[in-house]
Parts: sequence; structure tokens; C-alpha cells
Amino acid sequence: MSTIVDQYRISQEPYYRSVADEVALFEAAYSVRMPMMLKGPTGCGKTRFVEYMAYKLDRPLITVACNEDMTASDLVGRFLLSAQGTEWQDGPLAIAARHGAICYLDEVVEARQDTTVVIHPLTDNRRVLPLEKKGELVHAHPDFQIVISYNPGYQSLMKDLKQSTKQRFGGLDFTYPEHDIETEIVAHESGASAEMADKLVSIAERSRNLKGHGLDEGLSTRMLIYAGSLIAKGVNPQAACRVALVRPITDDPDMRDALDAAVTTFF
Amino acid sequence: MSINLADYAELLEDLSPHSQEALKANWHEATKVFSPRGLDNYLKGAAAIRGLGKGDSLVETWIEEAPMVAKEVGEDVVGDLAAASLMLASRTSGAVIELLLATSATAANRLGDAELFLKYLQFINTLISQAPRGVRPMLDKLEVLFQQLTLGGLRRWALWGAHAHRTNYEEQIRYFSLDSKESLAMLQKERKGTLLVDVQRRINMYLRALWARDFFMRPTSGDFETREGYRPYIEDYLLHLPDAFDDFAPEDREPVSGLELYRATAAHCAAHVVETKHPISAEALNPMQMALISVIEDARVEALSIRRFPGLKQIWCKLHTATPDMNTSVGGYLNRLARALLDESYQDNDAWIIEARSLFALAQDRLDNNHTSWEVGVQLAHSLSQKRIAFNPRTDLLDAPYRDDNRYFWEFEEFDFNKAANAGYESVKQVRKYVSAIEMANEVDVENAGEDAEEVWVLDTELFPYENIGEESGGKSYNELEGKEPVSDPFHYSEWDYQIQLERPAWATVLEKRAKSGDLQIIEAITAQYKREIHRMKFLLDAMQPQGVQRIRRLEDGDEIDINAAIASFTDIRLGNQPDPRIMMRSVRKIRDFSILVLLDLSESTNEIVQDQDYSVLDLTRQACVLLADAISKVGDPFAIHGFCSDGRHDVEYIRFKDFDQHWNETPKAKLAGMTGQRSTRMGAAIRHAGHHLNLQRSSKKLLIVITDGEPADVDVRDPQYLRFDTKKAVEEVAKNGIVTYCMSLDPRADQYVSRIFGQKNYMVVDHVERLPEKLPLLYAGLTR
Repeated sequence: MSTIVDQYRISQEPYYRSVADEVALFEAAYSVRMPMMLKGPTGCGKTRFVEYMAYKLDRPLITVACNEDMTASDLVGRFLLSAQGTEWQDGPLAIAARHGAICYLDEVVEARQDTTVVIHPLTDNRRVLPLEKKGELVHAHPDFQIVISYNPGYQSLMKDLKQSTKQRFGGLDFTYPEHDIETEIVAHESGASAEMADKLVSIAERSRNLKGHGLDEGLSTRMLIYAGSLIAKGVNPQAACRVALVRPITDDPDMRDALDAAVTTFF
Repeated sequence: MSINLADYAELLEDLSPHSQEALKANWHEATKVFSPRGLDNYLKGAAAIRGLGKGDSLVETWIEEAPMVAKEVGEDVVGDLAAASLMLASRTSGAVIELLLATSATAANRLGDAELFLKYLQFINTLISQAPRGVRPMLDKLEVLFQQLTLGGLRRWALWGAHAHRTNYEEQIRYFSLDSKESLAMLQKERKGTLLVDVQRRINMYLRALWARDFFMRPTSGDFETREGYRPYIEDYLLHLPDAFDDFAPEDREPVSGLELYRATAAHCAAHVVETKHPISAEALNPMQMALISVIEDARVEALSIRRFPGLKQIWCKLHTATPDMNTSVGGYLNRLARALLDESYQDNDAWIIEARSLFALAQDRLDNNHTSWEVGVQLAHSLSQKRIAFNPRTDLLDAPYRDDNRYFWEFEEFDFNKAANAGYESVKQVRKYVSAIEMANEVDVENAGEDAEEVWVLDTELFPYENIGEESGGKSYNELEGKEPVSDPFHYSEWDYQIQLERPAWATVLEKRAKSGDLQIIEAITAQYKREIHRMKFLLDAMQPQGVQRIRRLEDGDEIDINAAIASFTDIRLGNQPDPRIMMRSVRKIRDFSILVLLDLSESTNEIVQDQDYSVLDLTRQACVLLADAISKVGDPFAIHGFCSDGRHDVEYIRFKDFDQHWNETPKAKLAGMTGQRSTRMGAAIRHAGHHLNLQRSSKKLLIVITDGEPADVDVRDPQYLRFDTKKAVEEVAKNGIVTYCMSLDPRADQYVSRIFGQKNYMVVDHVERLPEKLPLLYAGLTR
């Protein structure tokens, strides 16, 4: 049975540059199996962090990208038809709970609130998952842990987690790293030179100044890495910034122009 | 406080009956744009123009156009416009003055600034003396001309024509009506480049991206006589940039576009504001020393900015054209110095330039203090004076078009936030004290205290005049005898001042007042009148009602197996057919989670009668509300209907006709029937207060529908932009709390400002006001589907 989760194991160490004490804190949280919540803007390294921790703790990682249409069965499991009749198929959450994986629910606020409550019994001291339709109560494997992530920024107050959900988790705040660290990350991941990465990070900082003044979010570290990779492949830096940074982030012609101009102040 | 035309009877008795009619027709428009003082000027202007005896149509043009001008550039110019017209009367015909007035709104719109408008009037005055026959054809073409020229350009174009055809009137007329070749050639030459108003938003974002703060920019007019624009300058924390920049195209170099030039200028000015933190004392300095300190200071702030944003260097370098052979004047040396300090690739072997470069290089690690500029500047002034070239402060100027005139740090004033806050920001909040009868009786009333009194005392119980209980007062309490309608505790809201880019804390006071009840018959009549529309909407609304739990069948991955589909599939399998894999179903709960607040503008202008009809805007608004309320209560969303009007910032009245938890029954209907329109439209404060009410709602989606017939305006605000910007800010503030604001404007000319305030997608302009009652429920249906 263990083969089913083996595919979720992470075999190679993912690159992760720790920013503060988050690695130690997460390890401590895992040692007491405290459910964790990662907050932060898009593309700042939440998913990479979970992958890295799963590798470090040597646990399989089951990731579920949440969306509005996701229902409880998508997490827990459902009956399917087979030649003999019906057959139960575990959902990702049930697999993780049975086999002791880390279950990572990405962008959890996107899921409807009636869906998020199915994780409640797993996140307190009961650590069980009732499979109502099957009539089974899954006791979570001792190694099982649940991690959720969300971006408090762009959802405004329209979408938010229930207090009863929030208060079951320990929280780690993620932001874009400090200038030097972000430069190091961009240089490492994209293969661009340190000097180039430094400029890219400076451009991103310019765009983050515009957050709330015409931009919903600033340029993320992920976008910088894309731009850096293009530059490392020999693309002209200004063109790379246009393609990978400015064009994706805004449709407003004035904003596009202002950002293009900000790019040229570095190249 | 409604202003009646009748109060000005003595000013108007000279007007002919026809002009009086025209004035009546324009009166509503005028009361919307003018303060009482402005109205006074407006009417006095009408009387004075009448006094010229040049016919009714001139007076009527004034009556129609003056409010439009005030709307564009503020009411302060109206007096000057009248004075200009009177001054011209002795020199030209009534028809020309009439044309001037008729085109003044166009001019005001194009110029967009009161000061520029005054300069325009001066220019017309000059032109009439130089080319009396040319003014009329020019005014005819004014719209075309302003599309292509700035005020400076227009002036140069016109004066050229006036000089060229000084005596030949035929040619003059042809030139000014754009019929002659040279006229078009001149026009082409003067054609303006990039306009600040067109690129201002981009520049703003650019500066914000670079320095993470806002800078406020204003256009200044180009210089008239030369083709040089005014130098940009910084004053009162505003960046004053030329209203237009031509492309900068020095010989045998790559041209720099106007937009690029604006960017360079704005970045240079912003660099000053950011990096010049202390003033430089001009004490004991001679003009040459000052000129050199200026150049070094420019180089200093640029060097600091280039450290942060290396690309700025290229932008600035392109705009320097000094060459080593400019060695006859101090100005030439100053320009070479400016270029040498900015651009290392510039070759210059002059000993003085080399000295300057090395001095500046030595100062590299002391650049954060502008005393460095003083030291280096004074030293260089000394060595430059060895060259024995006379310094002429008027001609020895810097050529680079992006450099400001540096008045900023010579007469520098620190922007002191505390000082600014104290200057106009008294945030005295009205205190409401609840006291006992004894305290109340012992205290002396302040007779002249008004609505904005510092302290108001409130007694829980009714207070009776004790000396004559049951006598002539008939046992009535003070409240019954002389009391006013009780108002709520004041709510204080801040307001956004776009000029200083700061919030004015607790600036506007919102008071909730009780709605008076009206006759229920009115509401019933409305329901009867719109029977057909209501019936038509029924189907639409039925479809919107929450359905409860819905089963969605035929899914490949649902929650449960749909047993019928499963059996069918098994039958297929047994029969050896291809089974349908879609055998699951899912139960979905359909719920609506909306709160809707309708905010009505109840200003004086709503009493205006709709064109060609016998009902007012207010009647229509009421009808629309009744229809909407019927519709929403059928669907079952919680909703509220509130209204507002204002009389200065201390008294924004807010009336709740229907609250969220109230049923749509006789009480709110009667209140809606009693709705009246008065005073002005301070929209920002009302939107913030509506946001406060919506925040108390628990729904996940909150919608604020604002119905207004005009733009934000109030009696104590003279700058037409101020309340527009504040309202925009208010909309953004409530958006942070998840409230979507949608505006329904009944002002057919509203497109431009409404989209700026509420955003591209969140407004609708109702062209045919009479169709508002049908449109509003449809809007609701569309927005909440």
C-alpha cells in the first residue's frame, strides 16, 4: 500500500533560501503535528517552502490546488463504479491521513466554506477523518500533517477564512525577501548574473511601490526568476522584462508605460 | 439654504423680460456651480453687461456661459471675465464680445487652470489692439486652434499674423480664419508637442514607482515671446511643469520625445524634493557663486538618484548639448560643467572642467549633505572668475530643458506636517454631553450657537418651563415649544485634500436626521403607474430568487452516485454497449449573499423639472426607488435606502428612509413619500457613512448604488476638483472593506468625471432620465446575478 504515497515523495532537495527562522519553526510545529497556515502574496515562495520542508522531514507531500467548485468529496473521496458494483476511492486528504503524508491545500480561501470545514476534525486533537458515505472513521497516521496557504492581499474581505478554521492553525507570514536575499534567490534559480538579479529585484521593488496605486500586487519573486531565465538565455534584458514582468501584470496602458520607464531606469 | 432668484430682484430689474427668462432657465445650473458670493458676481456681471447696451443676446450669452467657465476653472475667474468684457466694449463690437463669451467655456476647458485662463483674457485684450479685425475669425476657430496649440503657441501664432498683416485687413482676416498658407505654416510650426494633461497619469505612476511616494504636478504656461517654455520649478511642494513639451531634437543627435522629456524633468524635480533636505543659505553669496552652487546641487541630487536608478543617467545625458567650444560666456562654462559632472563619456580638456570633475569626485562620499554643494560651488566660482569673463545672471543660464530653476532650495521651506496640520486642520469634534435636569437648568444657553457648536447638552427627559406649568404654555415642554428635529450623534469623517495629498482628519461631520413621513398615496400611485413594468420584471426576478438545494446530475465526478444513471450504465455494460461515464450527481446550495444600499443625492438640483415633463428629478428618483425596493424585497436580499444632502462640511445630512432590518412596508414607504431635495452634494462623506452602515452587514457581497444628478459640490468648496478627488478616495476606502460602489448618474455630461471617480466599469449614465425607474431594478438584477 505504501506505493501509493511513494509517488508523492520528493527525491531531490528543492532549492530554498531561508529568510528568517521559518524552517526551525516549521520543524517544531511538525514535531507536535500542529497544522500550519502560510500567508503571503503570490509567488513569494510558499509552495517552495512546503516542498523543501517535506523533503527535509522526509514525508510525502500531497498538494491540492483549491478552487471554487471544489467540494468535500474532492478532498475526502467518493464511490466510483467498477465492474463488480461500486468501489470507494480515497480523495487526496484521505490518502494523506491514512499514509502519513503532508497534505498541502494551496489557496485554501478559494474553496467554499462548507468544503473547508471537512478538515476541522483532522486539525484538532481528534485527528480523525470521518468518511460519512463509506461509514468509516480514518484515524490519522502519526506522521500526518496539514498545511494550508492563502494570500490575504487580493481577496480583500470578500473571501476570508472562518474564524473557526483560522484558529486551528499556526501561522507563518511570508513576504518578498529582503533585497540581498531576493537577489541571491533570483540569481540561483534563473541562472542570471548577480548584477542582473540585483537590477531585477530593484525593478520589482519599484512595482511594489505601486501596489494599491493602480496595481493589485507587485511583481513577485517568481516573475523575476522567469525574467532572469530569459535574460540568461541571451534575451535582451529590456525585452525580457517587458515579456516576463510588465505585460503580464497590468492591462492599463498608463501603468504599462510607467513600468516600462521604470525598467529603463535600470537598463 | 436655498438661494432664490427673487432675492436679487434689484440687480435684475434692468434686464429685459427675455433675458430674465434665460436667467431663470439657467438658475439651477448656476446655483450648482456658484457659491453665494460667486452668484453675486455672476448677477452683477449680467447687470453690468446689460449696462453696455449692446443688446439682449450678449447678456444671455453671459448668463449661459459664465457658469460653464466656473465649472471648468473655478468661480474666481468669473469677475475677471466680466471685467474683460467691459474693457473690450469701448474697442470692439458687441458681436465680438459675445463670441468671446461664447467660446470662453471652450477655452477654460482646454486650459484647465484659472491662472492660464486669466492670461488668455489678457492675450485677447492685446490682440484686439493689434489686429482688431482678426479676433472674430480667430474666436470662430478657437476650438480647432486649442486642439493644436498651447496658450503660448496661440499667442505667438496670433501675434505673428498681427504683425505680418498690420495694415492689410483682408489678409488679416484670411490669416486668422486659417485660410492663408502662411497661417497654416505658422500653425504647423507652433503645434504643441506632448501635453502634460495627457501624460500626467503616467508620470505620476512613474514617480511613485521610483520613490514610493506621490508628487503633485501642475501645468504652467509656456513663455509667450520665445519658443522656450517656462523653466520647471518647485514651489509649495508642487512640481510645476510646462503645459507642453516639444520633442527635444538638437542637431545631429537622436531626438528625445516629449514624454521622455517630461519624465526627465519630473525625475529631476522629484530628486530635488527627495534629496534636498535642508535649504542652502544665499547669504553673502554673489550671483556667480549662486549659479555654480546650483549646478553642483543639481549634479549632487542627480548623482544620488543615479546611484539608486542607474538608467536615469541615460535619460538626462541625452538632454545635455554643451560642447568644449562653448568658451565665450560663463553660461557656456556652466553648461559644460553640468554636462561634465553628469556624463563621464563627455570629453572636455579645459583645466577648469577637470578641476571641477576632480573636486566633485572627491566629494562622492559626502554627497548626502548639501553643504558639499556650497563648498564645491564657492571654490569653483573663485577659479572661474580667474577666466575674467563677465557673468550675466539673465543670459548665462543652463540650457538643458529638464532642469528646474532651483528656487526650491534657495527659498526652501521644510514641509512640516505638524504645521500643515495646525494650519487648517482643526479637528474640533462636537461633544454631546448627557446631563441631568439640574445641570441643564443651571447652565446658561449660548444664544448664538449653531449646528457646529462645540458642545451640545442633551437631557434624557422632557424639560418643562417650571414657572408656568399648565398655564399659557399649555403644559408643553421646551422641545414642543421651540425644539428642533433631533439629530443623531455626529459622525466625523476625514476628507482627502488632493492639493497636499493628505487627509484632513475629522473634516466632515455627518448628522443623521429623521425622515419626515409623507402621503402613502404617492407610493401607491407609483405602483399603479408602473404596473406593466413591475409585471414584466416578475420573470426576471423569479429567476434570481434563491432556489435552495439544487441537484446537478450527469457529472463525471460528483459527490454521490446518481442511482438511475448508474443502473442505466450497468444495463449498457451488460448489453455490451459503451456506458455513459457521467453517473454522479452533486447537490449545490444556491444562496444569495448580497446587501444593497441605495444612496440618493437629495440636493437642491433634484427639484429641477425634467425637460419637457411635469415631474422633477426627485419624483423620478422616488419612483425608481419604489420599483427597486419592490424588486429587491421580492428577491429577498437585505437592502436599505438612504439619502444625503449637505450644507458645508459641518452639516452633511444623512437620512435613512429604509434600514436593512426593516420590512418594506408602510413606514419606509411613507418616509420615501416625504423625501425632499435641498442644499448641496458632499458625496465623499456620505459614501463613507454609507460604507459604515454596510460594514455592519454580514453579507459577503456588499453593493452601494449611488444615484446622483450632478457631480460632488458644496457651498464651502470652491475648487471643483477637490470634492471629485475626495469622492474618488471615499470610493477606494469603502472598496477596501469589500464594498462595490456603482454610480447611476442622471447628468448627461457626466461620463468623464463619473468614470474617473467610480472607475471605468462602475457607472452608468442615464441619458433619458425619464427611464430611470425601469432601469434601476434592471441594474440591480444585472449587478447581483
